[in-house]
Amino acid sequence: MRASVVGLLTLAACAGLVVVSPRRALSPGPLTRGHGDLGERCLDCHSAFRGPRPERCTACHDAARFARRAASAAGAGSRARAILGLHRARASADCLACHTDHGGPDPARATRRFSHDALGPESPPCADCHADAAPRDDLHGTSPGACDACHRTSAWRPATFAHDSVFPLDRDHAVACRTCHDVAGDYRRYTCYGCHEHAPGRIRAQHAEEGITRDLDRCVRCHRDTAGERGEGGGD
Amino acid sequence: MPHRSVLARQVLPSVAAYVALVLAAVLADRLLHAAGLAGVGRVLGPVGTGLIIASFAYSLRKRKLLRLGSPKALLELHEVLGWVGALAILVHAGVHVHALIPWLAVGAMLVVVASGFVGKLLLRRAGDALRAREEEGGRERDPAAERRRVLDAATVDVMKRWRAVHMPLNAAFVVLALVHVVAALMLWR
Repeated sequence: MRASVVGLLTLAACAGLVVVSPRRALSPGPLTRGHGDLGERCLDCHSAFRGPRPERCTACHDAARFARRAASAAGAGSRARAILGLHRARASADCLACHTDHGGPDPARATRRFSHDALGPESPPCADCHADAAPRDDLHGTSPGACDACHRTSAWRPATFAHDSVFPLDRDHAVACRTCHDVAGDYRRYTCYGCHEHAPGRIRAQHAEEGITRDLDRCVRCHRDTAGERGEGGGD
Repeated sequence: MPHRSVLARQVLPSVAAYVALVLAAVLADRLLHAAGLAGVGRVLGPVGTGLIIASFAYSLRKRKLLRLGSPKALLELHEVLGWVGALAILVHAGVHVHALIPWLAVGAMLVVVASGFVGKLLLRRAGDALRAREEEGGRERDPAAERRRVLDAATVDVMKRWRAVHMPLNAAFVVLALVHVVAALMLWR
């Protein structure tokens, strides 16, 4: 038999198969239980040449109700609150950034790995989802809502704090945090008397020569770096 | 022991290459899943398709639709690209039996690859037979021997009969693969 005839017969067989049962012909896997009744109606979710569209999801699903049900399924606590916060922020956005299907009847297998990139440029404040997870210590308490100044969405750690904006940690000051921040968890408090170079008696004597006798524990008020010093009231 | 020699020199390497194709695909699939890189399989679909399309340069050269390259070199390239392309497609398919059309396409591809190995075997056997006849006739081998072998009437006849099977199989594979690609482009984003 000629190749062209075989090709045409194969094409006709494929077309027949797609018409009779598009699910058996093309579906990459079983739908979730909730979508099971869609059966052969692929185009209820998929648009030709555009794939599955979020507007097809919201044609059936009320985003807010969907979020409450998902949070309820997640139970109590921070995870449920995160799910609610996320859905509230993304109520009218792209469901398919996180949800998928054809992974089997279990709905838990129909979610992609969450990526904060899916939130887009108009992402909600971190606390909308992570309010329970925010640390309560003084450092974090002084900068609510500014998580992204030090942390990235890929992981809480490593975090970057721009110490240079307060006091540059040059070669002589590359020490463990607790050398200066001697009260655990309180990073607003510090002492410069944690090393031999800054012995209290010596510092007191040096400053007395210049008539400075007050606030000798608030070094950074004048000494913003190791090169020199600012005048009184140079800012705190 | 001429039969054992034919088996060792011609049949076994082809069978080994075919078995290696399947084993390499299973191994690559397992490794990608273990490394959490199963998504790479999706990319391997277009890659394998591209390699197989590139391997058709030999067919174009044979039909004089392509003027570049020697047919012998392009045939060797056809074999290599066909094997590597088939490997990429097998890894792309994974071991997930769901939709019929893509799986029929994979099945057709495996049959076409097997048919390709049979064609290679037939060509080699015909070449060996011609060489034997030349040696019996006392003719020395010369650079033109390769060309005479290709033109040898017996070889042409055998290969013509083989192509009558190989090309329809290939047509079925190409159509099934095309339907799968068009469906994926239509329904996937």
